[in-house]
Amino acid sequence: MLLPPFPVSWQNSGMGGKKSANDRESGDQAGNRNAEEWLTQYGDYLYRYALFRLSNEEIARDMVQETLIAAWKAHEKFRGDSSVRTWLVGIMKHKITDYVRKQIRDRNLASHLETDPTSDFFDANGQWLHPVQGWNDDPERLSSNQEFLQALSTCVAKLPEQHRHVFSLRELSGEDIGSICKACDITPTNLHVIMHRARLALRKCLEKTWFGDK
Amino acid sequence: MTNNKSCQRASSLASDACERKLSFREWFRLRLHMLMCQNCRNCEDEIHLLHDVLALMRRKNGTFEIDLPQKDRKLIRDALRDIAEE
Repeated sequence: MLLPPFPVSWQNSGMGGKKSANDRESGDQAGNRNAEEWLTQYGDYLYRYALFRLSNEEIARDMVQETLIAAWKAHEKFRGDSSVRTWLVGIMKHKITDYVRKQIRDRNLASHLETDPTSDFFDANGQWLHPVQGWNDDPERLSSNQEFLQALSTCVAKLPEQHRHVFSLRELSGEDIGSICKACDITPTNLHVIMHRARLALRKCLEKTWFGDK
Repeated sequence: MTNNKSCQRASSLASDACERKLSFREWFRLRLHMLMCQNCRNCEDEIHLLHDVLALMRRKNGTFEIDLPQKDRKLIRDALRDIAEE
């Protein structure tokens, strides 16, 4: 049995207004709009979105499933003010934040701040243990390079769990500091410490796996 | 910042600058340290490069070119049908 289609009013109104080029290109036609259609049309996009932010294929799949179920349950509230994809991504963002919040609270990850992994990079006087090489690369070029994104994702996946969650929310999802602190039950100072540690760990990892042989 | 922990503190401030506006005192001490330390200049450049790359990717909705695997697609489709039947 297929899930119920969108209300007739949407079908007649072309989803109620603003539509992205993506929606138009994907042939988002009246009469076949339901959760399985969303899976067909936006499944890949949602999966990539979740995978990039969570660095775990299984959890990314679960996020797609939870997003589509939540969207189906709430579809009557969708008024068509945005494209379907934007609406689904909005739901997924909440799902990801909820997941991260639960992970951090359930596993008491906030207590992991007590150890300082950046001490691995500095001597007792706070001087660099090893020379820091320059990277000399272009952000525009790197941001379009799939191989670099894979290398970056691999490095993000290696971060300690709490650092990975906070870094992903901040730098991959672009969440504001206030909402991350609230979701993860940490202070802004904690967040700054975590971001510093995550950045130094990523710098070291990318130096080995990407920039080292360039 | 020419005292103990100087490079560690400088790298921390360079990272903080991605999240918040540094106070004048912090900014001045950071710039003074950077004048004297090539390692920290490189580290600051790398932190900013990474920050800029990720900001660009967010702006471009950057994601992987990886499709939802067929077996996962089937699992989700089955779950959606189960929910519909409840």
